[in-house]
Amino acid sequence: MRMAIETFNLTRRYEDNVAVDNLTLRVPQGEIFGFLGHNGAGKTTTISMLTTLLLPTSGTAAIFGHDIRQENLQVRQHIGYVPENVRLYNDLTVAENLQFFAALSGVSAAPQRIIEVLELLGHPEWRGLRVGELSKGMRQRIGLAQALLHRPSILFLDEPASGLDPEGTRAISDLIVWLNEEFGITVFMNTHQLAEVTKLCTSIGIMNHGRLVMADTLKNVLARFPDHHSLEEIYLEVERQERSRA
Amino acid sequence: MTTAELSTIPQLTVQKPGWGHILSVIARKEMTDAFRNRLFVVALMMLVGLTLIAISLGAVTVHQRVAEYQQSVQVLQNLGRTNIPPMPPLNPIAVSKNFINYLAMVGALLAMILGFTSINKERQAGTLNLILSRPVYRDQLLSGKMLGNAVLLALLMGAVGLVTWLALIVIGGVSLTSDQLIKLALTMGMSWLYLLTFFLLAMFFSLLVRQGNQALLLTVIVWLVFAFIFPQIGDTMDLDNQIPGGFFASLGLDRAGEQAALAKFKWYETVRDGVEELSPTKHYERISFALLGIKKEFADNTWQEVLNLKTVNLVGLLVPIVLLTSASYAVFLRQES
Repeated sequence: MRMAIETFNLTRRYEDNVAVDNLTLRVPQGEIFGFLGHNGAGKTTTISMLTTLLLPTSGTAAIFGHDIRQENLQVRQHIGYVPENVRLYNDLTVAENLQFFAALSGVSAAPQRIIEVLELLGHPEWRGLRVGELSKGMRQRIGLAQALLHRPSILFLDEPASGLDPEGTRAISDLIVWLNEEFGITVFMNTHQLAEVTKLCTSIGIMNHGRLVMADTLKNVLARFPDHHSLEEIYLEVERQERSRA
Repeated sequence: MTTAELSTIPQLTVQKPGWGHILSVIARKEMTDAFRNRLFVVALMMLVGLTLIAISLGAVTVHQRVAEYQQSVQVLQNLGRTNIPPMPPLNPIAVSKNFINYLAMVGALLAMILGFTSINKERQAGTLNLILSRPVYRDQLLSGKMLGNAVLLALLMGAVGLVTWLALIVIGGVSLTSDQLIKLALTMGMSWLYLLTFFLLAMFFSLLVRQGNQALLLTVIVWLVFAFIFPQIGDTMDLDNQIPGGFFASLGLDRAGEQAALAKFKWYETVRDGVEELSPTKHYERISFALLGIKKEFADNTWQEVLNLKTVNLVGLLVPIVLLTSASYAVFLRQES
């Protein structure tokens, strides 16, 4: 099985604070991996390192075998990244925004590709709209569109449904599953939406104060806690155990 | 890779883009973005409006002087005079004097808006990380931004130079000599360097200080100090400015006497000049006024002679650009996210 993500003792410190502490993780290709944890647990720092935006203090990580330090350009060609609350350029149209990001990624035939990606998302009519006029849900989907332009093998999503209404959350979730099932795109997502994780994810990892305290397939995690009825209960139980251990 | 094709476009390829491609993509985006920025457009319209008024009024003055001379010639010819005096020296490019004053103020503001929004807007929109998650290096991003805005400012100055030239031909009814044309072009070049300084100043502070309002405040403070306070201190310290009509004139001293008197206060003059030379605005004014012949002592010099005499001011304009560019790269390349 080919690994989409492999990290070994990945660590990031901010002066005295250890944001990510010796993270060792393997995510196989084709998974939808839910990365859970409280605010400040180190989820966004992990995504930032895996997307080459932050350098690790120590440890290693590779995306499809490409080292995030030594081969960062190759890593960037494999990944699509959607940050939390993506806003893009408000004064430019959807097409102009996508054109810009397509050109930066070296996508040929960009105009056709932009139409294709917008059709993929089911909204080719958004092409001429100014991004500043879009709702948060629409912007989130355009954020996803920009991440798909160069046909990435893996998508990194930081709180993709943050601040969205239930309809918007459902639309994004459906899109993620479809992209995974239809095109085999691996998805690594930070999220707090545990109900969505249960529906979407094939495997999960739980972070607590920078440390990975659990990582397994969703099926195995649910089997490990037979007395708990939901992922939310399991998550709270893991957090409680970690607190008592500390 | 077992991933199914995420595209049906047969000619679609994804290749690592080259340096030049990335630079031009970022530069073009900067220019498009600037013209969609309301604040920039308002400041641009103000500058264009003031420039057009200043140049048109100047061109009308030139036209009037030419017309007055022609009327005098007509009168003399009607009186049967054959020895017609030549036209008094006319310096049509001096019509740009008011433009220089407007540019020192509104132009600098315009450039600072560009520098500030260029970085701050990306931070607010979260697009900086989106760009850097693509095969783009940080120095490429910064170079592209600098290139785009530098081209934008160059186009602006080129347009102003062209309008001045056309206004002098159409309204003023005069054609420029090749020396005057080069001097006008060089003045626009100096104006470009001046605007670039304030663009880079705003960009540097936006890179250095992540809070946008603090970066803007710092930029404005530094602008006020270097563009207004230092030249003002220099003017206030000028011995000749102590009495209306001139201190030396009130003593009945000619230029030689003035120089002899000043020689006794050499250290004072050195300090005063040093304070003034900290200001890019002063360098810009000195070299531009010399090129345009507004300063009488340079009116008869060719453009090469003016450049030779004003090398210090040219260097004075270039030094902050080099320093701010280097500092911006140093700050941005060390930053993460």
